[in-house]
Amino acid sequence: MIATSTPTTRQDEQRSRRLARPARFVAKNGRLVLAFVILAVLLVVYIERVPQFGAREQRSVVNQGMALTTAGFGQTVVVLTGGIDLSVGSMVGLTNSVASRIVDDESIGRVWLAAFTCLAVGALGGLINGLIVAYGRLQPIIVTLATSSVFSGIALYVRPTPAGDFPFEATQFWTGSMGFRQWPRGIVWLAALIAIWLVFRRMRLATRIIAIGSSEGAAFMSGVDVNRTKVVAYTISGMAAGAAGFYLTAQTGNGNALAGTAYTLNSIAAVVLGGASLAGGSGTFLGTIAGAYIIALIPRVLFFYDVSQFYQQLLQGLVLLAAVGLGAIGILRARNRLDKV
Amino acid sequence: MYDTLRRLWADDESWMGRYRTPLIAFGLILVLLVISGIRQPGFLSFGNLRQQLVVATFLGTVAAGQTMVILTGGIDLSVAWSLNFAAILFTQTIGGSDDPATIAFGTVLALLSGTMVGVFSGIGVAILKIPSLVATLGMNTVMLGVTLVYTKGSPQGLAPAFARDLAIGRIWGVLPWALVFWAGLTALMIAILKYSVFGRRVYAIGNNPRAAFLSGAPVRLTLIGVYAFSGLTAGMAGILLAGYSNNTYLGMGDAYVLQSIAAVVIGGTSILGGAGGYGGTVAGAILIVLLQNALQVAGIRPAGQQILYGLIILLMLFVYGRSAKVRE
Repeated sequence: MIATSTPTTRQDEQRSRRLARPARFVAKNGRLVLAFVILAVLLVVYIERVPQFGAREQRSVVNQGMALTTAGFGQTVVVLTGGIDLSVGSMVGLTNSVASRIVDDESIGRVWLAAFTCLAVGALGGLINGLIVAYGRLQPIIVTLATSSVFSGIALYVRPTPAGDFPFEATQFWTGSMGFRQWPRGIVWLAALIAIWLVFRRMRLATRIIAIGSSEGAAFMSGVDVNRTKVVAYTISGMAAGAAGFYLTAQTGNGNALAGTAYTLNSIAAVVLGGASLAGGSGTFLGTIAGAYIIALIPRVLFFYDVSQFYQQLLQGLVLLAAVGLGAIGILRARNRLDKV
Repeated sequence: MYDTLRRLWADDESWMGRYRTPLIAFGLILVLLVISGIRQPGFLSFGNLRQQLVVATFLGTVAAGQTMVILTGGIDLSVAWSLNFAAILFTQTIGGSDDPATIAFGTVLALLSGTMVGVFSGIGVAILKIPSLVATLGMNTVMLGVTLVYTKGSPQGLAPAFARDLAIGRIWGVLPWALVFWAGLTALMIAILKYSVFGRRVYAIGNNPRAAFLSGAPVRLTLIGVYAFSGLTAGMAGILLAGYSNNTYLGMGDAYVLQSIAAVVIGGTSILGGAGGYGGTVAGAILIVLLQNALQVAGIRPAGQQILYGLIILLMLFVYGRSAKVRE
């Protein structure tokens, strides 16, 4: 892949120094801001049209993007290292199948066991990805493509056909409303993810991950254990996909080996919409949240505007291309023609 | 004899050294043929092998464009739905008519739609500097949307006789037309990549786009051409597949994204670009199709097939995909 770097000429720097602080933030994080603007517009348009934006609607909006946001957490971490995880979707499908095997209607006590098993299975899969990428010195895009085939094969052994009955009480707990003003419980999970991110961002691990994504060679020369850091990043991604798989089980009530298929590319789309650079080294989970909810809201908005669902994919693709295209306009202004190559 | 061969193998300049990875892939095909031939004698029958080669033609056609894109250091995820849309446009425009003008119009339209998808991805990659993964992923989603809107969920029409002949017909009942087509495409690919200025620029860009630019190569135009070519071969594969199954359906191209990438990589082309060629991809495509067939014949469930498939790709990568250690 051609390494792209945002050209920062001296003029750019001088211009951004002259700007006031909020304006400077917008200029520096254009795509991140754009993602939140798109999300806000979608939300306003949606609430405008929905007959009554009550507890039920709030709940389904929050739940709709929850699994993708969770999976996107891991994808963000891997993309920050300059890598990519194409096995996210099949890991979601695998953990979804595993969870539906552990819990059934009679065994509500085992829900927590299922949650931890999903995290463990995800972490194990991610660990394998990381070990192969780091110590095998192979390209992540093709490694995770191969392991994704393995994961979905295992998932098909665990759940050959979609089935399972996740107890309704557990679904209520994970995806229902809270006592406090009937707020959706999903907000708690979302807040927890953000808290984890904020803590993670202040850890030395995050600095190492971003250092690797910015320049692997430089990180190595400054004493970063590149291999170990990569292994941890992929393990986090697997674990996040496992959590997403568990949430999906709680949400849909059953297990389906192929349930995760869309999550691979959607999680990448969410990360990119959120302003992260696929070349690594820059990006934030907060942007990924916006990206994931943009993707989740589009079909709901179309539904309430009586637009045929056939337009859903078209709109999603155009929003993705428009967002990255707008973010790329700076390239066209580059003075140096070499920067345009 | 053995020593000479070993020296040739180790020497990067010799013919054996230069074609090391395609040779490994073709060697693996032989191993696979022998193992499954012993287990299941019917596997080695002329009819079955010919049939598998025809199936490999579809993959090889998509992988031709994919090879070129990967050689520039990019990746094309849009082949699935540019293939599917081209196939549907092909059958719906012709709509079972026998009129040669309509058939020609439908064919040109299908090939043009694939090419245009590639041009758009190419503009995104070359001019807007969007990473190819995102640009082609976006185009793929857009084409999925376009297909759904265009067909309202149910594609119509049948493939015309010429497409059926091309996909399943045989010359004198022996040699499938599809293989003739694939041989022609292979010759064309090798001619472009090895002997044309365009082809050399593809390698130059894959090695170092800036160096290519500084030596006067029209980098952006070449990149757009490469993605357009990938769209064109996806469109060709769409026509072939429509002829093979006699109709079109939604999702007929989905399997080809990952398989075409796998065929290119198994064929020894570096996923980072700049090194490799189409000969290896041909071996990769045949290997993937034969492997799937062998696993099916051996009675392994689809789940097991997927696991083995993934493991074998990993194994191949370990045989020849490792990059240098990070030093600086």
